[in-house]
Amino acid sequence: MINAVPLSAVLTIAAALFCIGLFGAMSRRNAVSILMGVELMLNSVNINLVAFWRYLQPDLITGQVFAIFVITVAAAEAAVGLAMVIAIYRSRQTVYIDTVDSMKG
Amino acid sequence: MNIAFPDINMLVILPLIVIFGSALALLLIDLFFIPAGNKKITGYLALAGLLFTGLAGVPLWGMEESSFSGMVVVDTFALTLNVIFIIIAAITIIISLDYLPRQGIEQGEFYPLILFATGSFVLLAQSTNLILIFLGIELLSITLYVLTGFAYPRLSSEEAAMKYLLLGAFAAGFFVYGIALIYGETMTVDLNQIRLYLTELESSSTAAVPGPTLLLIGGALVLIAFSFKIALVPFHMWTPDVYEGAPTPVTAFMSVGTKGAALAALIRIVTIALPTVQDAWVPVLAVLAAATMIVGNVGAVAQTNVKRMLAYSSVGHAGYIVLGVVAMSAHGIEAFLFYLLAYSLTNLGAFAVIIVLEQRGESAWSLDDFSGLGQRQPMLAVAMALFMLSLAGVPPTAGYLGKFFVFAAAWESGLGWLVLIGVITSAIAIFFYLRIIVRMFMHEPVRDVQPALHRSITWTIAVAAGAVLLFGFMPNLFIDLAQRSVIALGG
Amino acid sequence: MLINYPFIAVFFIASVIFPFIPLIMGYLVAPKRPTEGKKSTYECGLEAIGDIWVQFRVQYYLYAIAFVVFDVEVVFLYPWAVSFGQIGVFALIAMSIFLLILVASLIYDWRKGALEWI
Repeated sequence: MINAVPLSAVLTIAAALFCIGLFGAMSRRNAVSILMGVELMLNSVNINLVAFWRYLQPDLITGQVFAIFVITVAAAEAAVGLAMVIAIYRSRQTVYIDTVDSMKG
Repeated sequence: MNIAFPDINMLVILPLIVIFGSALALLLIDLFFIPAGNKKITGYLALAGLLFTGLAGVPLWGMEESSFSGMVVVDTFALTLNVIFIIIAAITIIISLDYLPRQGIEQGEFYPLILFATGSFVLLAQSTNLILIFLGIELLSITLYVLTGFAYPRLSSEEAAMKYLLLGAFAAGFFVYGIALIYGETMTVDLNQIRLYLTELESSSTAAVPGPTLLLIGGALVLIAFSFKIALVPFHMWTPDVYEGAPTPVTAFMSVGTKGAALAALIRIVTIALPTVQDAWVPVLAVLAAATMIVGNVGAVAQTNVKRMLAYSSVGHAGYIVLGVVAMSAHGIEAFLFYLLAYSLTNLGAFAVIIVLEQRGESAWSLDDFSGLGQRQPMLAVAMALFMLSLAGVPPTAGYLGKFFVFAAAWESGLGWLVLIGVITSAIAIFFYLRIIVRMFMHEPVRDVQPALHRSITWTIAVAAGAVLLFGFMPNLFIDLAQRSVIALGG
Repeated sequence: MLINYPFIAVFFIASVIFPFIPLIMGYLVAPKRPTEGKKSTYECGLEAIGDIWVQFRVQYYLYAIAFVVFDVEVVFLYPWAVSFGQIGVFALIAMSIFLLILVASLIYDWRKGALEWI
């Protein structure tokens, strides 16, 4: 099974996902969409970590453990982000970040 | 599979246990026992927690030991940084005590959050493992997102928090991707083992074996993420907005604490893991430092809002501090520690003065507030002038010596062009710092600003000013300590 | 192993084609005589009332956020549970501390009123 799909293919998929997430995070106006893009970036990293672990170092669990940490941290970050989006929506009735831009200079 | 536990020495993480334990306990104590409107008590308890954290460092003094299979280390470098971080947190809490109720944003959570952030600083100073460094950076970021938005429902505060969060999450993505690539190349996230891998690669490398490509790409991504956190140009765009929007004590806290902690982790990474590939990253970091010094100081010239001006100035100072890292020498790290201490005291003092002058509501923090301060509050004006001189790097202040040390370290390492840029930008910087001094002493008052001078904040300003002068005259008080830290790091 | 992939490809192509054929055939074959009643939104035979973008109360989001955090933190329990036999008492203590921290945050949520449906 492990020979069927080369490591480079998995890494390419992860890199493609990372770039999609990056594009999503940079091109969207909606704060929630940006957060989704960031989540996609973090999840592509998880693919990377698990792939490296499975292909190169299946005896040690570093990669897996790191992936779990990334998942939890991403959840915490998303929670804070969504709470902030709600707070902004309550006071400004918008979630579009380009309308939330009063400070300049 | 049989799992063997590594040797665990709980003493190594004692400061971490104490500070996170007290933060968690304080969160619950505040919830159940501290009545609303009397949240100052929480602040005092937080100060006690910081004191205990400092005391927890005492039995560790002189120790040099790593535990948890080399994930955490305790050495003089970490302990010295811990002392600086505790001072930063303590000053932040003291200057917030009166500020929060005055602004109508007093919530008990503020103080536990400061403790959590300080805990993440301590974690960053102590960890020698990329997973832990990632956790530290994220804990620091998440607490600071919340603290930045603490002046909710003030719009600028919300906006700053949102911007900070989106860019910070973005940087986090780069950071983990970089770490994943480093892990893919070296098969480890431990800094010491990464160095072993690299030295082995170097000794066995032939023309057929390519260099550590994945590691270098990963390292570049990690460097980008660190640049976001330290606010190095061109990753500094968020800094002015976030610093302006955040509650002033939080601005003070992150302008010094975040930079110090992130740079401490960066120093660990580059000195422990990457000394053999110096040629790859030293020039990059040097160029970033040069750009940071130029953009930060030139950007500050155009500002009329004092808080924004200090934000740009803190960008510039990040450049100077990085000089100590780029030097890659014992003197460089010594200079980094001294600069961090001097800059922390000075900047916290300057922000304390701004807090005293800040009116309730949407304050403009305009230069006009400082006009004629020399007539109305001579002592306050003198203290502010001292802080400005120290930031500008005029003798006999601590800021001057800090700059001198980093320049000397960079010069020794053959980075003469960086020193030249540093000196030129310092000369530019004198202009906008002096502008405030001129306003204070040579202009008539423009508007009536009632300074909110309480005993605690007055004392803080006095102590900070005294310390800036003291370290300016007697740097040896701290330099000895810094030198011992360098030996401990093996820099 | 690679030999299995063509089957997946065949299924993938078939599953894409299959729903489209009836739709296209219906489009081509069916008579088109629209009336007002036929063009209205179908919702159990009744006229649609109100906007389809219903706003949930903010309480709902607070629940969701709290749920996400607690749900994901539990991920740490899985590796612990899998290797429980080998790692013994020390890991039990460590996990108890972790759970205590989670309980502390739950108490915080509860006391702050985030769990109350007003």
